[in-house]
Amino acid sequence: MAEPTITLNVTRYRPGQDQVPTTQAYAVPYKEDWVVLDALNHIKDQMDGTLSYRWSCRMGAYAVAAA
Amino acid sequence: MEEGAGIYRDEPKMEKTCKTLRTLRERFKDIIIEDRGSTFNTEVMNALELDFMLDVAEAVANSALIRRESRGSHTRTDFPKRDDENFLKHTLAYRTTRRTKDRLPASHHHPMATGGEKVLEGLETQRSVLDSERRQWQNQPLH
Repeated sequence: MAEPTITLNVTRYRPGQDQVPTTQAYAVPYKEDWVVLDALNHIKDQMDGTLSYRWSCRMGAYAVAAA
Repeated sequence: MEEGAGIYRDEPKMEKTCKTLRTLRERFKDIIIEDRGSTFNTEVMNALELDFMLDVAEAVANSALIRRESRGSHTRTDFPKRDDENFLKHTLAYRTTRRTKDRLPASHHHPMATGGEKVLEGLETQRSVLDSERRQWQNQPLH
């Protein structure tokens, strides 16, 4: 059986390139233990390196005070 | 790096790590940047960071390998004693070709550096390829 996938609709805006934000669909593997960040990382690593995003989870930076 | 240039160090482990780093540097040559944007280009950022991390890792691992003593946090199980006779000096790491190596003042030559320098010589060639590649990114139109 083929691996189940799920479609992720990502709203993208590239300053200097896009006039308005556009939506792009990516079919990514559906895995029970994945969070959205896992799917985004999968897209950037395997499908589309031009996708850029910020995140602050999973950084192991609890109890770190930024100056 | 944790395995070969971590808390407890010995020659075989460090040799292995230096070899791994050479392989990684070789693989780095195959990097392709898809994103040509000039705004928030995390792909270029990640590639540059990897480039510099490999530089630092190579300097650390190759320097640790030629320092055949234990000193401070540099703990070698195969050389547990501090050796002021041979190593009361800083280690300087250069990317060298045979040509640039000859130009370095003799005082810059670590007495034990022969093996390490050979390693770095090999890397110099790869380095210039990388630099020309980086210039290519910079010369290409952004959009």
